[in-house]
Amino acid sequence: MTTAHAEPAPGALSVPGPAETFHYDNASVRLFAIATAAWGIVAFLVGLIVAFKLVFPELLPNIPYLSYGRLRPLHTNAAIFAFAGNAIFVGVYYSLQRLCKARMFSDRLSAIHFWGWQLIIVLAALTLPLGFTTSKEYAELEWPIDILVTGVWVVFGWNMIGTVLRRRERHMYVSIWFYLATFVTIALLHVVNSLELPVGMLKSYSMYAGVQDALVQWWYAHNAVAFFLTTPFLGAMYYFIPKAANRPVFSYRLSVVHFWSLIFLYIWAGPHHLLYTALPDWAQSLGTVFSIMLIAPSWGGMVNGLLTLRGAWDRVRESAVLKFMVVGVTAYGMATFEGPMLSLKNVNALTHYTDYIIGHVHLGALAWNGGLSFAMLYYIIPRIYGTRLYSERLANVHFWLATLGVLFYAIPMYVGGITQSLMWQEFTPQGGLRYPNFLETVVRLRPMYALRAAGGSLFMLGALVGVYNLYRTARSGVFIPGEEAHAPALEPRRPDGREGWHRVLESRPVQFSVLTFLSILIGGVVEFVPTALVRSNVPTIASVQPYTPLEIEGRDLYIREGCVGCHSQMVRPLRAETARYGDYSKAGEFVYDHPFLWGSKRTGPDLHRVGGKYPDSWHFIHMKDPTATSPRSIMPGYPWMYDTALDTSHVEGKIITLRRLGVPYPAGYERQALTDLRAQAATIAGGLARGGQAASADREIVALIAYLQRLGTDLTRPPAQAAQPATGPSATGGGQ
Amino acid sequence: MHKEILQSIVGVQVFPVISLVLFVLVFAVVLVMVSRMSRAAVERLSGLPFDDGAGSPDDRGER
Repeated sequence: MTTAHAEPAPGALSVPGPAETFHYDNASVRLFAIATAAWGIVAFLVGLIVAFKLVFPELLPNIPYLSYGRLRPLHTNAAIFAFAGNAIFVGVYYSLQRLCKARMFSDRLSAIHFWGWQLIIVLAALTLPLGFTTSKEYAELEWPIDILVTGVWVVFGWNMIGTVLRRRERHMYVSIWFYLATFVTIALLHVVNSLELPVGMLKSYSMYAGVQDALVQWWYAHNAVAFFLTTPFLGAMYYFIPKAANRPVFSYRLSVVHFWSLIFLYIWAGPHHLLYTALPDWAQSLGTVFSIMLIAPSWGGMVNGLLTLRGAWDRVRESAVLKFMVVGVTAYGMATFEGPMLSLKNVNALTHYTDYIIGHVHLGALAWNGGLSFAMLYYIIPRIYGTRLYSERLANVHFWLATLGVLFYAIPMYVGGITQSLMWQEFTPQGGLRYPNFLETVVRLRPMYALRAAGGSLFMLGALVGVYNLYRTARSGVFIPGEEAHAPALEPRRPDGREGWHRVLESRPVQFSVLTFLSILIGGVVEFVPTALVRSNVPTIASVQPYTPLEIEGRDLYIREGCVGCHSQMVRPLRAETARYGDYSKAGEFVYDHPFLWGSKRTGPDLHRVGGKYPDSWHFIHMKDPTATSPRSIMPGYPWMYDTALDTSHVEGKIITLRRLGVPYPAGYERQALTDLRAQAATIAGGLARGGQAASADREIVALIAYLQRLGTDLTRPPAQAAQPATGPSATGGGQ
Repeated sequence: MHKEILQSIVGVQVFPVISLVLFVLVFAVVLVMVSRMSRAAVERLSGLPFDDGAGSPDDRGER
């Protein structure tokens, strides 16, 4: 097993026929490589801007399109789908052809795939800063772009499966299994999580509400990490580490076990993002158990990657490709140990909503995804240009900048996250919160935020060095658009049928994909069937009523500005939280929340019980300039909401759409909605005016205040007067 | 409240059990399967990345 390549195929099944000549498509690989480098720089740059905004809140102030809440999803989407996404396609297009001994199925499909994907990225880069977002993490793009994503993804899958079907090698190497699993699972996740009902061209409401929406969203987001940021990179690992080390994978048997157990287990673990929330307990426990079990396959994969280098560690010293791979695979091991630990409820109570999770995520994203992406580029670019890497020394500089950057990023986040969480939970001997003002815990973190920004800068600097090195490499060579190769056509199947059944399966990509699909579907079904029953079983809270039209508009502004990126709406049943925020959140409170806005990070305090906590005038002053009410706050101001008139053109459509989704607005209420909206806005503006604040009732800020003041208040209102708007018969059909 | 939700779903206890049984079954089948792979087959499969028909030296370029 440790012998090098090009053995005369000891397990060959029959005598090969005459060799055919064909050409590997390097042109698509090059396009995706350029896109990876370019979008990588953009993603890192936007990340740096948001990191510096937390240190210097006055950076790029008062520009709606560049506010923190809108840039954060741009950063995450750019990092995941633009940088890592294009890197995946680099790896797949390069290795799949060579493993199949066939050119990509169709040059036209390759082109549609490439340009379609870049179009999606450009549309995301335009719509997210403009505030068009569903607010569901890593699925923020609005419905027309979702449809485009589906189409382009199908093209990718079609091209990939077509290539596999036309291959000249009977057996599919384990990398191809990981690629097929990626295609099948991401298709399912994307379609199920993006089910939404449009209100307009760039506005929609999630089909699911509250607890169900949260479960679907985190099933999606967790598995997007699994099947977008993990499986394709594992496939690349199983190809590029052996190639770069020039020795076969440590254990092919282990890679088979790794594959099946990983794809089977991963899909179940999503609920670990929702521990201590209003999600049913059994689903939380299921998520925890499967997360712990995930350590085994994850570490099996890591060990398999690292042990491939046994006896070849001298090459790691010389090769930047292998250095990036080794640190990347090690970071994968650390992150996949950390993940299950974070899904233990006691650990989760400490770390969830804090910067610890940001550190955890970036350990994976920067070291594992970033490391493998750059390793692939360093491996592939010299080869498709028929030359050598321009400078191994510069690649080493890049490696060290990146590695130090990751450390300077992650360690301050770990320290900061735990520090802040302990401050949140600290009580005085008298039983009160030691730090009742949330801001005290934020101010303590600013040095950590500064260090993190420095770490990110190092990583960015390394990436720039890397891109320069790759550019000079390309300049020094001559691009080979079609690399000539020779292989005999696929030999006929063995007539006596004496192949092992798994080997038969490996030679049938379509059946293989179907089985993979079934494996991931089982986890989804067992999780979803009981939760689908939850809808009719969530205890009815009679006082919980649908939002008024003005509150809906305010909620949509909350979504537009990305408030959910920094504020959760989920008070966990922990003493420190109920003491700070109020009664813990109940599943029945979210039955009309399309989409749910529980959030996953508390850069600012939880807002689920903020309704009625401050007067309208406080919000009016705070939202314009948060430091006016909260000195040293790092929250940005939203002055444009005081100048912009509320767009009420979709009020009717929103009521109709929400009713279709099951929110019990009475029939015909849409005709009354605008009147109610204006009346409620006039009441709020009138109150503000009496307090000496010149507020026009038609401004956006009034709608936002209406929504914030409604949050979490239904529970404590007597059912009879719950959620009655200022006038009119609205929401009379509320409840269940 | 969680208990109320759980009790109102008939037979909810069976779901976590189904998941565990399914996983153990899949895992066992995979283990049996790989243990029955022949050494020759394993060597051939793990050698696939090195046989791409391009005839180029594998370590070209990066040193």
